[in-house]
Amino acid sequence: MNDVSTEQVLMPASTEEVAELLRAGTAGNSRFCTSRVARSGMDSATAVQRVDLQKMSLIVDYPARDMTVTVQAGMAVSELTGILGEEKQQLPIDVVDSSMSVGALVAGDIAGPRQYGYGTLRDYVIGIEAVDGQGRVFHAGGRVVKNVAGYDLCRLMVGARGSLGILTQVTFKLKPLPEYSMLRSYRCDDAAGLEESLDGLNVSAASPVLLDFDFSPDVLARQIDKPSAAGRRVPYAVHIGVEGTEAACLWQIDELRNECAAGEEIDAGVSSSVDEHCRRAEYNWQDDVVRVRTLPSKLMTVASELAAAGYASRGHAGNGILFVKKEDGDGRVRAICEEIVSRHGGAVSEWSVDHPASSTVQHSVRLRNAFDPHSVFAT
Amino acid sequence: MTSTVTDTNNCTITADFLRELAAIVGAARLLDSKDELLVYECDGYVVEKSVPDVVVFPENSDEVVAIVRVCGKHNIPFVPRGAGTSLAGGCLPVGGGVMISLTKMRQIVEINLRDRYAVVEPGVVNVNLTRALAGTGFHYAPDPSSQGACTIGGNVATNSGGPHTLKYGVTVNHVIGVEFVSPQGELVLIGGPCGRGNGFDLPGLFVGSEGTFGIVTKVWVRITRNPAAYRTMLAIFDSVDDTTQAISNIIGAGIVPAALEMMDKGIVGALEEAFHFGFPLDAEAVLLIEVDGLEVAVDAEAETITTLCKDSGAREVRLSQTEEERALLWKCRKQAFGAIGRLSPSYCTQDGVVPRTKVPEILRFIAEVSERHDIRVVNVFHAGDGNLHPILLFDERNTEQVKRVMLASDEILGKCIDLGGSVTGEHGIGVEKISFMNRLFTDQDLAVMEDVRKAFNPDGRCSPGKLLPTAGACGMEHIEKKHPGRHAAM
Ligand SMILES: Cc1cc2nc3c(=O)[nH]c(=O)nc-3n(C[C@H](O)[C@H](O)[C@H](O)COP(=O)(O)OP(=O)(O)OC[C@H]3O[C@@H](n4cnc5c(N)ncnc54)[C@H](O)[C@@H]3O)c2cc1C
Ligand SMILES: Cc1cc2nc3c(=O)[nH]c(=O)nc-3n(C[C@H](O)[C@H](O)[C@H](O)COP(=O)(O)OP(=O)(O)OC[C@H]3O[C@@H](n4cnc5c(N)ncnc54)[C@H](O)[C@@H]3O)c2cc1C
Repeated sequence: MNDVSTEQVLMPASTEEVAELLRAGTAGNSRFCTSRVARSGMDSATAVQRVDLQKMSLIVDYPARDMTVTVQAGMAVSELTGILGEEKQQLPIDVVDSSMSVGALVAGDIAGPRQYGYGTLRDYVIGIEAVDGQGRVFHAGGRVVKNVAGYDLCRLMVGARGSLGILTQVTFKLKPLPEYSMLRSYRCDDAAGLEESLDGLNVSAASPVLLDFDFSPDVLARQIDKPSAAGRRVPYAVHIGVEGTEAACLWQIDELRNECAAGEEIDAGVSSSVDEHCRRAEYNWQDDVVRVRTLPSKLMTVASELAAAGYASRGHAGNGILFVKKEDGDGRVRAICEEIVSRHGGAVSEWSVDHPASSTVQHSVRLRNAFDPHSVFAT
Repeated sequence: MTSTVTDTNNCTITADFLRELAAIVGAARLLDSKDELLVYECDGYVVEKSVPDVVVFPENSDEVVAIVRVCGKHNIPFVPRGAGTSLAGGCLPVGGGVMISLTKMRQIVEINLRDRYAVVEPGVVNVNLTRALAGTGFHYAPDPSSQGACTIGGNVATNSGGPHTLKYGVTVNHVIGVEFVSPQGELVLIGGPCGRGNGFDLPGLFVGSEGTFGIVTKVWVRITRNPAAYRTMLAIFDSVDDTTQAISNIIGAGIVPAALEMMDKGIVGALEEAFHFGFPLDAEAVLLIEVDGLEVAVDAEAETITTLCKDSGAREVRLSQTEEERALLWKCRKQAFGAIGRLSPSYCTQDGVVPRTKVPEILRFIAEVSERHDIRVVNVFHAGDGNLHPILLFDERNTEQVKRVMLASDEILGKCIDLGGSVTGEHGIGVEKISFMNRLFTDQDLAVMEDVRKAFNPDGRCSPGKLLPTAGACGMEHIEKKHPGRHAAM
């Protein structure tokens, strides 16, 4: 990755300014990127100018009683979280680095552990304003929670990582902040025990917001980054988070303890709350990991085969998501993951490699051509 | 009511073309006689009519591919149809052509409880999936009031909602994969049980495209755990203002019930006559409120809601005591439209949306419009989402009254836009609300949407004349001529 921050950074202050610079760019053969970090494949003959929306970071409309908010895309996620918190509301999307902008959050389709209970950004973005590669300002959706007028370009922009347009404004549907939350971790004796717990949890009467796991048999001890607080390695663990009223949380934890009968409750050490757990880099997709998405029912098989190949994994059990560290960067991890997935189903992704703009699916290519016919977005 | 027949049919159906279609589906699954076709001249939106030239009933995706290819070869437009319950004219074969009915593709292909998804063919009736899941502890969450008839293919095309979408989300929140036949006749798969892979969220974009991107032949949907407990309440009010204030107060308090539906006096009267539930006939409005979740949590939530309702002026809040009572209450709500026949020979249902705290304001406006145009309006709607369904009652033989209904509808939807809302929360634009698109969106918005349509449907042969004012192709122009103002939303 090259740092492009040293190059010229453009800081438009309005949607119209974003549109103007893109129109000028189209005419002048320039390219633009909204990412703070350039991807390795990005360098080309044309200079890439970084567009930073930090001058567009206002709340446009926050009718708290409607439980929606419209915000400019340059606002930092941390600031938005603070503003919503004052009204006891939240956008229930976990982020590690909350300095990231709302635009980056949406464009990156960032999602963490609580996607199990809350879903992902596609379930929260109800309106967008953006500028496409021809400098056309466009809107989709609106500011109401239910709306089917026109094509759903909101869904299309979530996760497009800046390849179809620069988001300038986003409207989200919100959730109330829970009164109370609790995190518990359980240790399992072996892979079979872990699988048994997960199967049980799938039909639990409780409704956890997160259901994460660790899978690192003793033979892989070298891969474990931190020993647990007790100084004891926990090769197989399941982490469960619940939210709601205090009574509801306590009841659920009780229920879950019974369902995890195979597992013994442990002190997870580093994170003791749902909040802390969700901000831990290890339980979020990072640059140095390969993400595997498979069916929850195949998770343990995939994890076991990875372990047999020498790799520990952890991730979101309820969603069938595993993270595997790329230690050596020689592409071996990815190749192994791909081979396993080819037999059990699923998809392998690396943040810096698998950009949606590189998709060769015909409709994706056509959409790229429609939104960015001159390839002004350097992705 | 006077409806418009789109008699101008630009398609030339040749004997060769019919022979080729018959070779695909067989004579028994092809209709081309005038009498048989008449049934297909409109859907739940009866104002505009256009008879298809031929209706075919494929039984699998290979047949759909073959049909679409033959249409391409002869340059004949085609339109998909599920159960035909669209209230926006989504199934109207604008300009004639082939109607592809998916009702014979009704297999539930797979149910996977461990991985929480099901795979269904497009003609599966919504409620049949939930019925197939009975006893498993899971259900399919989107529950349009028409769920006993409408198909999941139609739901995907219109991004349907329902009473419980307040908490559980609309169709797009539950669709993870779609197999469809593109207008060029290719079988395309987007998404699937493991999500959308590394590309764009194409399933998300596809949902709600109202049949203009291709013919859905298979859908991967999420299935949802049944809540452990419900509490279903009927709050009874002596004034509409108090009722809408209660809605606003519940949502404003940060409570998201599973469902929050409002029915006014007119609807309640008709329902009581039909179902003898025991609704209070002197009440001005009632709220049907359901909370669900953990047994330990629902009582507290129900209590808070009861207090909020009473503080807002509710005369009484009744809690359903038995599962039968709850089921009957929901049956009443879901069959409310059916009961309207008791009130008036014809009616027109609108689908506006306002920010939820603007519900009091829009209902006052609707009452004022009703009075000014002397058109009776009754209301039954998804109050928690701000998704209104004002039902305008009239007699279709009275042309002057029909005009007033059109004007009143127009004013109501216009006010929804002014209040920051939309003209459709779940029924879609179809042909009915095309003229509003220019008010909701800028020319550039529409140009971008037009480009998106072209990415999927470059020749415009798949369901022409829908959703976008620019969606030209054969037919639309004639409708516009017959309805100089705008085509009515009835
Ligand atoms: C593999 C990986 C996984 C990550 N996962 C997480 C995670 O789970 N949780 C988390 O909190 N952080 C996550 N991050 C983000 C990380 O913390 C840093 O924010 C990031 O590395 C900064 O560089 P960036 O390229 O992601 O640029 P960012 O500026 O963070 O942008 C992210 C993406 O959004 C696009 N973008 C930005 N603004 C706009 C806009 N206005 N309109 C359209 N597109 C825009 C960019 O082009 C880029 O593709 C992840 C990063 C990586 C590399
Ligand atoms: C009494 C009543 C109550 C209703 N209540 C609700 C409600 O609560 N919520 C709600 O959202 N809607 C409601 N509706 C509207 C309607 O039921 C929905 O829009 C439903 O999704 C339509 O399904 P259908 O199978 O009847 O589709 P159709 O009416 O046959 O078609 C609807 C649209 O989908 C397209 N389509 C159908 N099948 C396919 C396919 N396989 N591939 C591609 N496109 C296809 C058609 O071309 C058309 O544009 C109600 C309607 C009635 C009559």
